[in-house]
Amino acid sequence: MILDSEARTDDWFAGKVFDVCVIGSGPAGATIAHRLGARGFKVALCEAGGLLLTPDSQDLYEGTSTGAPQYYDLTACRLRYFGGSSNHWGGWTRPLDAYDFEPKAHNPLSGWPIDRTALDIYAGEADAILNLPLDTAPADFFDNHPPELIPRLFRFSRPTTRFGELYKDDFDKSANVTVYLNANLVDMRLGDSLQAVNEAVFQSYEKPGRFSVRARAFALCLGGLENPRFLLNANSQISAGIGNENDLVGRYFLEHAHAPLGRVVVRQPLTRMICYAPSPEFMNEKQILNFGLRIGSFDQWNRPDFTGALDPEPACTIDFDTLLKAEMAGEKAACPAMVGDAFVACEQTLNPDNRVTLTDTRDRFGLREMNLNWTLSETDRRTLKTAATELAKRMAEADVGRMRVLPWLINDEMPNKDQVYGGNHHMGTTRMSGDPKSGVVDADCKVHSLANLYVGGSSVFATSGHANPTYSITQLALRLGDHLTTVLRA
Amino acid sequence: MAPFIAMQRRVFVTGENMTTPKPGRNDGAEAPSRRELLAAAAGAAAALIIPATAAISATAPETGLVLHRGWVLRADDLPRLKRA
Repeated sequence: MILDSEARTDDWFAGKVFDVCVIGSGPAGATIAHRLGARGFKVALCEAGGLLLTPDSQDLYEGTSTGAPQYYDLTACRLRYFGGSSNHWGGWTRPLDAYDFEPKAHNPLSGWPIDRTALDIYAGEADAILNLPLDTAPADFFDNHPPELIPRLFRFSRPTTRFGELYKDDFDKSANVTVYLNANLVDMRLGDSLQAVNEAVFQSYEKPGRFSVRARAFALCLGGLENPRFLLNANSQISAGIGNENDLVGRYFLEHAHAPLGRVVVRQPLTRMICYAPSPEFMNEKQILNFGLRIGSFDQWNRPDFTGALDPEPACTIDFDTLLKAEMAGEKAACPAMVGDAFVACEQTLNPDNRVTLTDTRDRFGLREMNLNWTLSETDRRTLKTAATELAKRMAEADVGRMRVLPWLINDEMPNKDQVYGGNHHMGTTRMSGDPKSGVVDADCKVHSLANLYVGGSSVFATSGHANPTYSITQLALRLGDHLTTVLRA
Repeated sequence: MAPFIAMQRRVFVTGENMTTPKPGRNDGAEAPSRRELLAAAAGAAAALIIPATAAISATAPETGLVLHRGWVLRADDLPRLKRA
């Protein structure tokens, strides 16, 4: 059933205790609610927006950012309505690499309290939810690729899954899941011992007053920026904010540092986008983090229908040297299939100062807006540069092509926002750890200090790897749904 | 309050990452860096032909590569391209 909380009456919630209150209907929240509803649990799925985008809702994402390179407009890099940011998701997927879960000495605090096998068991379901093709061998343009660079495959969600569209009919018909639209989370009330959440408090836009939803468990799935913002704002009973006993909520914000690296001229036509990631040994040797190199065509892989295949080009009759000479002279490529772009998305260092904090500006519901501080560390810049130079060197050595590396990378200049930018991937702000002193949630995504508050979405990522996050978000949501099933049945 | 149409335009750009720069904006065809301009001003048109291993990585064991205006080339590329 889908209800608009603007039309609520006093009897909607009187005496009612749901099994689970899921807050936020993006990839994490919708997946958790759907899974639990299908298993017979009574679920309240509370969405701050409506079925369509409205300025009233989207404007509540206002905030500021500091740091360098400059971050995006916070009202433009996510969506606040049914289905959340999946409504403008580009559809790129791959799972985290197994070694992303392991600690790295040159990235203090890294490592997850789970390994990849804990998520692998959800791969089949995630593939189906995300409309993914079969997992096949990645393309490679080296006959024998250097051990430092491992070919990697991206798969594309086509048609791209919009979680609101995917589950709307099921929710509408469901006797177990009730969707409450226009329900803005404004507070959580804890029990007297401050060890569990009793109720979540909401407000709609027009109808005066607040309303409360009681449940046995709560899953906070507002996105990687709003999860910490809400927890920090929820200070009516705990002054530092819920789950923030160790001053960790909002810290360790992670993005994927995206950067064009330069142009390539290759000997064999590029028929698919080719990707490489560094081997663990190479990362350790160079003291760098994970990265995903892409070689192909920038204007093609940013198309919303891109599937990994590059447009076929007529057979090129121009020899490699002529093409290279022309490209070096800055002339337009005569054979686009043999001239392309190199690009990278890099994992970032865990930095406690990359964080969400609250400003003194309050939104229409009285919650403080956020400031996002985002910077690149020396390791981050070294990772970007190593990705570029390693590819360029290996291409020339193997004689598969040549690459021009952009000047700022060679000259060790500080990049500006046109040279390095985020992927709109908001991660790490309620990071997972086995130790409350180094993370906000435990291995089950439960807030360490509370018995029944869980967090869904990429804010629980302990590290980010280089993979676009939606695949892992979906796997983690399925896993959290299973965990809640066990807990609620106990 | 942001005008609704402008907001839709802003947040509905699709692609890998919906607010990445337009294609071609960072395609490598940038203005020369200050270092390149200085090198050119010194009258050393080929001054940037230096061992790639030194410019790119002080610890790289590879030899036989050169860096020319950002291009990582094999040592025999430039003479060959000059003849082409």
